[in-house]
Amino acid sequence: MKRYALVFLFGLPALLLSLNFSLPANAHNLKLFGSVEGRTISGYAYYSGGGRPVGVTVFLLGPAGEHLGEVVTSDKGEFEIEAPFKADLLLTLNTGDGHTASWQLTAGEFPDDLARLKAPAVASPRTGNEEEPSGRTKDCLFPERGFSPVELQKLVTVAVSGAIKPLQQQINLYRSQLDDYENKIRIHDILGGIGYILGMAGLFIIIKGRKSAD
Amino acid sequence: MHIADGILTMPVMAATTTFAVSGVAFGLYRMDIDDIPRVGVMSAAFFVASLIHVNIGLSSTHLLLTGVIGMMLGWSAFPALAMALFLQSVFFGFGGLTALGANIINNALPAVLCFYLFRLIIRGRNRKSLFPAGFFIGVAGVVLSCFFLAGTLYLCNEYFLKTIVAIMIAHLPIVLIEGFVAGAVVSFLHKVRPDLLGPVGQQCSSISPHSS
Repeated sequence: MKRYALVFLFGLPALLLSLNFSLPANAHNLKLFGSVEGRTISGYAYYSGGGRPVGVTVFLLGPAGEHLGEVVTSDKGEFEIEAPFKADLLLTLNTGDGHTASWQLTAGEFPDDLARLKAPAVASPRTGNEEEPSGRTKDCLFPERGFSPVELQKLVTVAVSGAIKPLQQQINLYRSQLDDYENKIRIHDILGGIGYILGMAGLFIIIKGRKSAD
Repeated sequence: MHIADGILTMPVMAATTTFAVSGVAFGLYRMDIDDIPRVGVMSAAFFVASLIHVNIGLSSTHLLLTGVIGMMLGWSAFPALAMALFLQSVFFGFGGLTALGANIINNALPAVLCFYLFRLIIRGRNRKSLFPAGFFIGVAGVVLSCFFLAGTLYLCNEYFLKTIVAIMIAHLPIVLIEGFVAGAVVSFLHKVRPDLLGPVGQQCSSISPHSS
């Protein structure tokens, strides 16, 4: 009869090992990913075990938790929303069945010209620098063409952001892969958990055994 | 069946945690030294059951084993599930640590109810096989868990009907799978090792193992 207990004990990790290699053995855990391109925040929500939540509202929250906008996820669990201003913004969603996820966007990810769109309450001192009505503004670098430093800066920004766009997409892809990798369930976690549980059971037997011996 | 962090309100969290701690304490108090290996193995089984995913349509759910655990462990389901849920939360982020109390209740309380339900079903009946009883308990375990989950969420967001419908649809395939698993486990263990069925094993032994 001991054989059955042994089969049960050793069969479990064996079954688990086979499952881990044959199935995408991931957790049922909701995740959210967001990236910024210009003013647009695009991203997607996914279950780390596969599958994406469809038709779920994603909320965009400001630095103080204020509601800035919302968008519903598409058939592929994707969404796109415009950022109203440059700040540390938080994307969050709740599927209503006990799963929630959020993704933090830092102010540095948004382009500088978005600063002007800042809400008056949180306006930054940078806003004043944009016009720069000093004598230098009038001294154009290319007087014959009439480009002011501000205009030139805009042109450069557009050109650079266009040039680095493929690179940025590549980085976003790596970020989402890294996020996924971090949340992957690993075999040593599973076996460690089983070992921990069985170890605790053994410990209880020792404690209870001592008590009954006394 | 795992509630994440940041969903439950403070009163719900406090109430469920208190209830869960009492349940675990009562389960440990009732647990005999001979029960411990079975409790440990079932706890480990629950710990890995969540990795078996069923992706059908838009939903993605996993096995719960509530019915099987309830039948085999009775009140010991509380400590068994508490340990497994704690480790799932720490290792995989399944369910938040702050919602651990609610998750223990939503899984362990249906298990305990299944235990009493199973005893009620098989009492005094001259059944040829335990499979139908096990199947029913497997189904009841998932349905009860869904109701408990919806009830907990209702205390926090006030949508009960919408939530329960969404949760039940998502768990429909699991309900059937759990039914078959529970039926198979009970009839198999009854034939080979009735003592592994634990508290209900003695009652089962009144049913002839070879009559089917």
